Amino acid sequence: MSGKVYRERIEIPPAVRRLYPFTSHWLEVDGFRMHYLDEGGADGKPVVVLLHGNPTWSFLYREIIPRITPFCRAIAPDYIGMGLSDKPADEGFYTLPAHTRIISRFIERLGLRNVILVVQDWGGPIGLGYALAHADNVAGMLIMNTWAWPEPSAFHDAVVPWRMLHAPFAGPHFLLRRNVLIERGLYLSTVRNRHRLRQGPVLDGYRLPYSSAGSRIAILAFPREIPRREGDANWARMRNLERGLGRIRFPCRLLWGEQDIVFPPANANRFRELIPDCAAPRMIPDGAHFVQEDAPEEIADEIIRLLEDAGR
Amino acid sequence: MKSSGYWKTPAADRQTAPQRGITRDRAGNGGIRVTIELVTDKQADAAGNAEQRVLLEQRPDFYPEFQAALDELLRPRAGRLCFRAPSGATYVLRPAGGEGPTGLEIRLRKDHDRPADPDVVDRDLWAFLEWLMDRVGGEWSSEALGRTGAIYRMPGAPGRD
Repeated sequence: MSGKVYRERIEIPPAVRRLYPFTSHWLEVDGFRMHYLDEGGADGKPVVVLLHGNPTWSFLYREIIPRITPFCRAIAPDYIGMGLSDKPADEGFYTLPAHTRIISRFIERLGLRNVILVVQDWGGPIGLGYALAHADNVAGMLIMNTWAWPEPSAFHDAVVPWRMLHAPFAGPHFLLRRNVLIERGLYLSTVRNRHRLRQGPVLDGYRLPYSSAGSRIAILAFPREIPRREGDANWARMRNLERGLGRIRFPCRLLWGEQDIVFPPANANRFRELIPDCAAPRMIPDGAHFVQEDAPEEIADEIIRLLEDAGR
Repeated sequence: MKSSGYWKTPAADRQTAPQRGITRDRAGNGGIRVTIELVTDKQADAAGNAEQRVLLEQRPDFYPEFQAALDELLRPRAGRLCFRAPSGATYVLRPAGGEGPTGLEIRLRKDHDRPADPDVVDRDLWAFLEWLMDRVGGEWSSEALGRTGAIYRMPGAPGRD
């Protein structure tokens, strides 16, 4: 494995800074410098950990954090390889177990107790991996537009467009050279606020930490971590996550962008069936995969309700 | 459909001449355009001594059918595939060397140290991908690539020029 790590000093331009007016924090985890936000103070407030997916970073939660910090301390990390965190050059580094291990150590190193997890996209398998292994340290979970079983969605099983996007040689061209998940994918996977993802400071914010092909390796690696057949990497791990859902005893809520073609509303219903005492999902009719872009107010509202559910 | 100076036709209409490593797109009007032309090491060397990496694939075996197609292409050529792309530029596909990740890389051969025009390289790589997909075969095709490229507005993809 190569030890090369991509690290660049990123200046946040004023127009993006206005949208993301937070103080950056860094923590050394497994030898890598991990970036995170820590907002809302630490004086006994409940802790909410906000986990993003691919190809986003903590910028995804910029409109949710100010709405919840009167009630909690909000922690939003960037996975290694994503956002403002270090980015190893070796694609082999970026596995689901590695991301899960690093998030576990991140929570442990910060000494976060009784956390409420908010997850979407890859935040689901990563956050659930943590939650099921550390159930005694989890006070609740908000699950949005994700999955936790090995069988692929129809979208993930299709050559066009998904598997072509990360096929050998096509993947580096689409995702590394052309950065299409950010340049086009965000736009295609939002509804209510789609206009913000066509051009302007919101799109610029997502682009910011992925300025070159070398900074985008994790964006290519994530799709290749999705299992499709028994025997694939992560098939057994995802099956274990699915089986673990039935053991969840902390309060869970579901919120779903209804127009998500990657993880359709059937996924929300499947989570509800598998998690004991899970309430019906709150559907966002004009929301899609990146539901944080479409429905920040509703998400903040659900987090605050979850704090109440958890007695915090 | 006229695109990038050459004519795209459905994969079923394409004739290949694998013995020469050439894909020919035969347009409805009878025009023929060579997209990717395999060249010898000597011809690639004549393009210049300078090189620029334009693509790195760390996991060419992610789908085994790609690795099989690449093995078939690389084995008889001592592990190097040299080709001329639609722009006229010459590229070499070979094992990634030196420090850093392993895998396969595509390098542009040129006679100067200036960075290549990324738009030209993008279109050349698109042509290479079309050529490659039709060699991998099965569920992989230039048509599937084109539909994906159209969704994501890739340079060189149908409807983008």
